[in-house]
Amino acid sequence: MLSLDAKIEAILFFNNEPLSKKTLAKILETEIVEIEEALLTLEERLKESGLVLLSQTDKVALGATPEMSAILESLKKEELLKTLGKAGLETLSIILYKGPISRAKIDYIRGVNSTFILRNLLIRDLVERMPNADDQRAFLYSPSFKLLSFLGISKVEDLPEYVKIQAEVEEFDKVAATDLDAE
Amino acid sequence: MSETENYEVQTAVFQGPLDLLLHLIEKRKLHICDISLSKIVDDYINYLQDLKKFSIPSSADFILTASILMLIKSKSLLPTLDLSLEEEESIAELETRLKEYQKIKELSRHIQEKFGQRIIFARQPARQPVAIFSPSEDLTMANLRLAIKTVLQNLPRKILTPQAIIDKVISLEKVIENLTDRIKTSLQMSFQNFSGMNGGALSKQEKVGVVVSFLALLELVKQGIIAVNQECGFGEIDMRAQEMDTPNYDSISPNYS
Repeated sequence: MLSLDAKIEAILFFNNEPLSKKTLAKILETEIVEIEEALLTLEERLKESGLVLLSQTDKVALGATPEMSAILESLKKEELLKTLGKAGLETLSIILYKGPISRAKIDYIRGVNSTFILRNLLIRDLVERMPNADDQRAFLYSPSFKLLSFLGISKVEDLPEYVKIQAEVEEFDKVAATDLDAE
Repeated sequence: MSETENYEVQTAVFQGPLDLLLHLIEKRKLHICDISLSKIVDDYINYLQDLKKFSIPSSADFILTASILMLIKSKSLLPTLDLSLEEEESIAELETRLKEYQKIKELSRHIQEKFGQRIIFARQPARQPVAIFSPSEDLTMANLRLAIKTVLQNLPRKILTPQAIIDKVISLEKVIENLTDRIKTSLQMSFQNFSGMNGGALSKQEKVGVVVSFLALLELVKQGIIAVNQECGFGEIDMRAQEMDTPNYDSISPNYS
C-alpha cells in the first residue's frame, strides 16, 4: 500500500503543472491537513534525490534539483533570458519579500509608477496576480513558480533574510494597528 | 582634487524622487535622517533644475518631495519655526519611506545574485499537441451574421468629454514665497526675549549677558541682517530679519573700521 506522500509524488510527476493542495486532497479523497503532512514527508525524502518540491501560496510542483542546473540548461534548445533591469529587480524584490502585495503599495515603496514593469513581469511569467479579497479592482501580486525556479529556491522562505523581514513587517503592522486603536 | 574630478556629468536618470534622494544620500555616505536630508536639498533642487526633459506624470512626485525637503531645510536652519502637524508627518513619512526603499535595494542584491544562476527545471512537455481543424456544428452563415451584428451593436460609442484647462493650483514659486514669509515672521522678536531680560532686578552676570546681547544686536544691525525699531525712549526694541536671500556661501567677515 503506497504512502500518501508517494501518491502525491506520482501525481505531481504526471501533471507537470503546479497543483493546489485542495485539488490533491480532492483527488486522493483526504483532508488538506493530511496532504500538508505528506508534503513535509515528501520534501524530506526528496532531499537525497535529484528532485525538489516547489511550493508557492497553496500550490506545489516537482522540479529538478538546482545542482543539476548547468547540465540541464545545456540540454535545452532555446537560450534563457536571464537579465533583469533595475526596475524589474526592485519590483521582484518587493513582491518576493512582501508579497502578496498590491500595485499601489509597490508604487509607494518604490516612489514610482510600476504599471509598466508589472505588465512586463506578468508577460515573462515571473509574477502572478490574484484578485484582492478586500478590493475587487486591486490585484495582489505574488511570485510565480517560474520565478522560484529561476532563483533556484523551493519556496520564498528559502530567501536570505526572509524570516527577519517577515518579523519586521508583522511588527510594523502590529504597531500600525495599535496606533489605529489608540486614535 | 583635479579639475576632472570636480566636474560631474549628469548622465544618470532617476525613476523617482526616492531613487534620486537615496542616490544623493549614499553618494555622500550619509545615514537617512533629518540632518542628511537638509544637506542634500540643494543637490536635489539643482538636479531638478538641470533636467531638460520632464515627464509630466513623474514631475508631480519630484516636486512634492522637493517641497518636503524645503520644509526640512527650513526647520534645520530655524529650529523655532513652527511646523503644522501635517508638515511634521510629511517629513517623518519621507524618512520612513526612504529607509524602506533603502532596505529593498539591499535585499534586491540577493535576488540579483541568485537570478538565473541555479535554475530548477520543470519537466518538459512530452510532445507538442497536434492541432486539427474541428469546427462545431453551429458554425453556419446565419449564426456568423448574427454574431457580427451583435458585436457591432455592442461596440463602445465615442463619447466626447468636454475639454477643460486645468488651472495651476499653486506654483512652486508661490510656496517658496509663503515659506519665506513664515520664516521672516518667526525671526521677529523683542530684544527682551533675545537677551533673556525677564523684567525685575538683574544679577551682575545677567547684566553682562544683556550687554553682550546688545553688542550682538548692534553688529547684526551693522551687517544689515536685522532691522530694529524702538517706539519710545527705553521702550521695547523690536528686532526683525531683513530681506531673505538664497544661501551665500562666501564668508561674511565683519569689517571693523
